Amino acid sequence: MPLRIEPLPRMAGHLPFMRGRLGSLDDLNPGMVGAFGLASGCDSRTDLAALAMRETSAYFGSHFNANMKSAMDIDQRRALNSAAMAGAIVDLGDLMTDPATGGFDAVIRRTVAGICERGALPLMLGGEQWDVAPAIAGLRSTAIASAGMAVLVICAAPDEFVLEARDVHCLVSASPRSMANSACLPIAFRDVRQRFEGSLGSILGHLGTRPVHVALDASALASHWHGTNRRADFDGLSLSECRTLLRKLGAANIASLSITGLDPTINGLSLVKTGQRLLLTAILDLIYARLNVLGPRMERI
Amino acid sequence: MPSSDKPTIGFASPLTQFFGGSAADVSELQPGDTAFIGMPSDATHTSRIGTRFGPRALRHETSLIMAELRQKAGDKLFDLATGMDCVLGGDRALVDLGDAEIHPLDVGKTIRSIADMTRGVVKSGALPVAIGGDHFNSFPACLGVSEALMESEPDARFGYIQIDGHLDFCDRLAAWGPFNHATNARRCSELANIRRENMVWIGIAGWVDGNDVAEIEGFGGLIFSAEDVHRIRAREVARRAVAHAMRDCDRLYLTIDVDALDSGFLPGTGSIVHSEITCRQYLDLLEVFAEAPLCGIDMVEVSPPLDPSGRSEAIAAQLLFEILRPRLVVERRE
Repeated sequence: MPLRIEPLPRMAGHLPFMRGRLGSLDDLNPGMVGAFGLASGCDSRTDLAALAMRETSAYFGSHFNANMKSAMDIDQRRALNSAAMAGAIVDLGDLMTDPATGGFDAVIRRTVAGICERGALPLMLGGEQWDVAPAIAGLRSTAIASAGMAVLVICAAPDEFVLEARDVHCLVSASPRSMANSACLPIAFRDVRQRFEGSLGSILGHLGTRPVHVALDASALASHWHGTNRRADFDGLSLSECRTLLRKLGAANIASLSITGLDPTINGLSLVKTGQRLLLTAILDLIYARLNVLGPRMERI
Repeated sequence: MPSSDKPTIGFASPLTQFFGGSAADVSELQPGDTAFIGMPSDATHTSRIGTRFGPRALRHETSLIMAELRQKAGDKLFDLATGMDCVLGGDRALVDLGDAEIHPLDVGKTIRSIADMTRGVVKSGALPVAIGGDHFNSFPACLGVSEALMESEPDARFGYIQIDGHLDFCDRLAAWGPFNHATNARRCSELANIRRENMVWIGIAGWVDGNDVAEIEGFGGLIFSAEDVHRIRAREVARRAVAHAMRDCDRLYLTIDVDALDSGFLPGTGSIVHSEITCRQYLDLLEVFAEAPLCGIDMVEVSPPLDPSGRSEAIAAQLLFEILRPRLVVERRE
């Protein structure tokens, strides 16, 4: 009997994020996710991050295809409403600078604002920590942030941009240093580890009901199993901690999300690619929670 | 002048056998022997291939373990795990039957080739240990065991435990149809003398098909997720698994997919998961299963090309050592 009976489906054609559809801002509607890539990097290969996350997310595309009719997280024992996910993710491609209208920052700002104004969730893939500033500015310029907004930064070592930013309201990092912004709530990774529920409550309570930009840097993930970032941190968040944190944030008032710092060429204890797959696993938790497509817990029969 | 007056360990012979055993034919097997079969096929894997090099790598790594033990311990082996004075080997032989014939473009022929070998081993009274290859090869290995038992004891039934990051319970995948690395458990569940309600999965992680979970639990199968291994502890999970799998059975088939280990530890495998299951937890599982009445074992999904460090095959060899420990290391009898 022949080994294969149909064309190979895996990597053929374009690979938009999560096998969503390629589109533009006009394709976005309220409740959707608008992903875009930043093919930029300065001192590391974060320019490859968007491509890497798109490729890795292809493995999770089965959540929406005929092979998996009802995806379920076996650890949480919660089902995913795949039908409700169909068409919910639009990949806008990688951003390009336009000398006529300003630099990279201006493009990021306009894109985030454009996605938010259509009621969708901006998902910025790639870039460095400083690329978060224009994303925050984009959210701030929209009507939904007119009454105020909050910023949560999760990273191993905060960049100067984070330390000096006045609008960072919560910083989860290895050892939070003094911030220019005295209203910022610092939470150390070890606090998350030792008092997870308490830390989570503090973070969500401090952010309140304002629209929140979540800036997750890949350096926040523990490096001892999976390398993702040039700044190795062996006390970083584990996968389960990261997933739970993002899941709670996804169910809360998140307005935009940036994933920075991923260098797909970095090995941890492991080979390249395992770290980015871990990161995608965690991001999916946030997206599914945000789109409210997770069912109730399924008890054992 | 030679640099050492001792023989070179490891790879001195032109061919290496599993655990430094002897190369032989199935007709030479004696009851109680342990018979290894290579299944160097990854044609039925759908993405990251390379497991066809698994048997060769594990022959090297397992030989190295035994050679080092012999050189370091000689006749004075003290097992720290059990606190016993031991000797390597014992009365039961370790026999490498070589690789099964693989037909990359004809999965039916490959199924028959592997199944004929494990069937012959079981009929001789030996224990088949089949080494993949991708996880689909587990099905023909189990099929051969099933056929041999059916011939000798038509009314007997056997239990089944699968350590894996995935259920592998799809009925078919679009391009590969019913025979691929995501369908092996379902194909095994269709064997006439397996007790479906005794089937157990351990280490399942992440997103799976909820319909598969409902079907498995509906017919009485038991699933321990990776989260369960952390919450209940590995040894207790293993004990519960054996109790479930052995109901009204006196034999157990064990399939060991190394991808249940977190990919941070073992990246050299086809379908990585982030289970956070550690090597220690995996060894704890196997330590319990090693004492069970096993009628067949397979280990699959070791892909050396995906881990240039060589760590993945070394860890897999240690896992194989652990499941075979009662046959490899026996208490010294003065």
